[in-house]
Amino acid sequence: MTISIVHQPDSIIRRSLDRLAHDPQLAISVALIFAWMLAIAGAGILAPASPLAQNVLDRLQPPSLGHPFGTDQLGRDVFSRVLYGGRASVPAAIAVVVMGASFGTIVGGLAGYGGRVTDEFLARLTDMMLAFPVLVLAMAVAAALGASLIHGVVALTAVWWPQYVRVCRGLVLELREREFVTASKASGRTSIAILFRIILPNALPTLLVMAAIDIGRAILNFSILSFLGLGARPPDPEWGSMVSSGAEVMDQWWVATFPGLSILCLVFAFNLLGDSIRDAMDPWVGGRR
Amino acid sequence: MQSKSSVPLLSVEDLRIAVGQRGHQKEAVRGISFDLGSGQTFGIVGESGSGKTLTVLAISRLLPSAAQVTSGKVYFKGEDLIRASSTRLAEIRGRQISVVFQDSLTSLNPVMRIGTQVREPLLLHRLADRQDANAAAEEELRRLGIPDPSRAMTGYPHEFSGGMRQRAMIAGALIASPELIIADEPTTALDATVQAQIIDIWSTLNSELGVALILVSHDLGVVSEVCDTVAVMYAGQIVETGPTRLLLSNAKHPYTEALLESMPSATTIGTYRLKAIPGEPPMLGALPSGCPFHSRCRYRQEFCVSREPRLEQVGDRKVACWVAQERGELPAATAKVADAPRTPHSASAITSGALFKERPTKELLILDKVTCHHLMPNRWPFLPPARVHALDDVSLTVQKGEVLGVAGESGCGKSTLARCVLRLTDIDEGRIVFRGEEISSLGGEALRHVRRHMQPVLQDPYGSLNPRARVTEIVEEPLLAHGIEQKQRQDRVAEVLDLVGLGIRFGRHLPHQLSGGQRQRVGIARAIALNPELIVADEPISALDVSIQAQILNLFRDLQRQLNLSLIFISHDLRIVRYLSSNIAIMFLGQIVEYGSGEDICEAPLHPYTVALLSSVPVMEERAGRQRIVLSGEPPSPISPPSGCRFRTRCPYAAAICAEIAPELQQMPSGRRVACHFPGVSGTPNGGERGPRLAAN
Repeated sequence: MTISIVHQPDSIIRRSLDRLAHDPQLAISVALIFAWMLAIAGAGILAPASPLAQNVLDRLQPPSLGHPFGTDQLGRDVFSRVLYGGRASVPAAIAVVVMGASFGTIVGGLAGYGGRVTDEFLARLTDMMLAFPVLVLAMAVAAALGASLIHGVVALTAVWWPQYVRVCRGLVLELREREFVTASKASGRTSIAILFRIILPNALPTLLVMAAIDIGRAILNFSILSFLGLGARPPDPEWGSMVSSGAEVMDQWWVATFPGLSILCLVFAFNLLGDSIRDAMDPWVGGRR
Repeated sequence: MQSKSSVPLLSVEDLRIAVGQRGHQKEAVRGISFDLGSGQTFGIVGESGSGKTLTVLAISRLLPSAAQVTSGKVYFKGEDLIRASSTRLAEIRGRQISVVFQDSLTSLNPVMRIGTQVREPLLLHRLADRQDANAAAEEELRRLGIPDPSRAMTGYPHEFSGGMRQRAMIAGALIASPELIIADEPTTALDATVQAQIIDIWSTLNSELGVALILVSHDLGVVSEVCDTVAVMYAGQIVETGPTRLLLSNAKHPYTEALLESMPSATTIGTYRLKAIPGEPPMLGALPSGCPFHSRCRYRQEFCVSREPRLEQVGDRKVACWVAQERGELPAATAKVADAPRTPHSASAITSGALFKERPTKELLILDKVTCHHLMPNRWPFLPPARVHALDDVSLTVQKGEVLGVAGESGCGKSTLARCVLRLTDIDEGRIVFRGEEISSLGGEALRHVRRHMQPVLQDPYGSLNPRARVTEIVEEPLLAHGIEQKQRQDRVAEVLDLVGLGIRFGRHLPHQLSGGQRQRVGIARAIALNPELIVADEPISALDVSIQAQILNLFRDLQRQLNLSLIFISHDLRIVRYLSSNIAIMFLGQIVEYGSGEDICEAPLHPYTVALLSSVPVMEERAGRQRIVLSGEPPSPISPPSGCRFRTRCPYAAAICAEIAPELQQMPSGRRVACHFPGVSGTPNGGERGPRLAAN
């Protein structure tokens, strides 16, 4: 028996590089995110001053060579504070998404693949959670725990998972009827093995796209919490609380504008990334050839 | 039938079509030429990827945006359609050329009434006012055998079955009395008995209305029942074309010959291996040098590899083959009669009879009055759910090493039968005994243990493999599930991949990197990995290309013999079931209507439904005095099956008793069992002549 077509499976790295070269949107988003990560990680080297160092004589200076983004009410260098502020906002947002998505995926998987009673219980619980506006609930949790960076993350995670339950449950309900799942069942696999080894890996691409887009939203929401005084505590720099304090001195536009632009830029980059990943995963848009 | 003028109705000259984006174009149709006179019927046969659909879409200028005509001409009554303006095309389409597509569910607009869609061409071309158009549409629906046409006019597509929708599509295509109808796989999505009805419609269309017809199909049988002339396409070219009868009786291209020989007929049984075509059809843009078929050809000569043959006249037809062109016919044309897979009766007695009559038998699987009803939630809350009678009182046995074939139309419960045996669906009543152990109520660990001894091969080679797992992981899965050690697992995976003809070099591949046939081999490897005693194969080849089907059938046959497997082989196609099986069960609406040895059932069927199934198989040779029933109507709903005999609403021989008493599956003297009040009625000389054959309603 001769079999004429033999494809060589490409390596993942090869394919990823290939894709970067052919997808400018992806390249831009990856470059932006990469640049921000470097800047945040290298804040200690890049920042001209300590983010906490006050200099009352230099308060509310407009952007200049010495202070590229100007200074705030207490004479702190806004540029340094933006760089250090990223160290709070970005890891916090990623933590919220990772924890929320993992928890939601597992709950959604159990709801979709468990029995009817499990499904009804988990699905109704999720519906209940989704009925509350995310921010209001997060504010309630954060307020109850007391304002701090960690509590902000906990509060957001607590309201972040239900949407993943929804999506994951739907995916699992569809996947469980597929023939390869039937084949697995007939081969004698246990239900829990089928859920975690067969079904969830197939649901993962969709959930990953959702998570990538979500990181932007989490940065935004975390900043809002901080803006409202429920996230990072002053004097620690954080983008949301910086915008908040900048809003008190509207005439000195630079105090609120630069942290705000940082939020905009990173949220934009993560949205672009999610969009590109979705296109890459979708065979109709031309992901696989 | 001859053309009235010297100009043919349709003339295609050296048509070439490329697909893909600019810069990456691949030639999919490579120079097609043919003429069609008015009133003639022309069939195009080929496997998927042969370019047959692109060719006919190009004629009506309906190519998808990814495909372009790169050169060539299509003359319709002397006018070049390739260069026609879009306004001119709009005038021609529907008025002079109509197209009928394969899938009537997606090609009818779901939000428009059937009547509106059928009458549309008349209004578009201003041939009638609204009232006349409605009347004409109703008349057309009536002529095509749609029951209660005035009500059908106001119905929506989803309210109709596949066969009825196909009729409505044909009605819409015919209504403006075009001169040419193009039909792309018009019966492929239909059930066997409904397909037979639609084929009958196509055959009468031409003889009654004199409309010219181009019929595209992957099935030589369908084309040969309808068309006078046929063209066989391979790799974007016509390789043989000529009068249908000559081409079928004496193929002159090796590919045509191989296609004809590769499929079992209703009398072929597994004594012989099928003459499968080796290899796979070439990929687009990766054609082999020389003759594109040379790597799969049994008559290959040296120059076939280097030079590509052209389509040239050879005797009574045109052939693109060096060998045939040189000799006037294929070398083995005379020799092949001797070893043709047509089975003499003596040989069939040895296999089908001896296999389980003389040898001491051991019953591996017993189904005893198994009943399985699916519940459909009622649309109104608090009302009891509707019951789908998927299986009712089904009893059968499978001996060790036996192949049991199960045949029936979609919705007859054959897949539910497979799921019940594999315990993927729970049964409501009855017993399933496997290896002497009652398994119908087992669960958990005990069930997992039983599953080690029975494995499924599923229908869809694309859906049944985990798209994210590599071949080795897929085949390894059952071994892993039953706790076999890693070293042994690796050895076994390599061993079974070898057994199914793939080899370990495919181990690292993902399913989407494999062709359909290769995927199904992986599915079979997974099924035999645990060395089970019983394999349940549910339509394992129906999604494959014709030339690949025979390969997989051979594989099943070989493995079954090599490993002494018991096999339940389920298919809608009685020919295929017959080839592999020693015993056959025919199912209709959740019940077994006839059950016996393959030879009895196919040579002398007793139940009218079996006769209908057998005669719905398009055959290429003349039906020598065979009884033939074309069933009217569609299978009844399994939610509310008819009283008495469930087949009576479609049975041409139904009498009063059939509506009152459900016939039992009774033992006949020959040993087989039939559920009919009048077994053999269709075979008796007076009943069988023509029978009271009903026109479609």
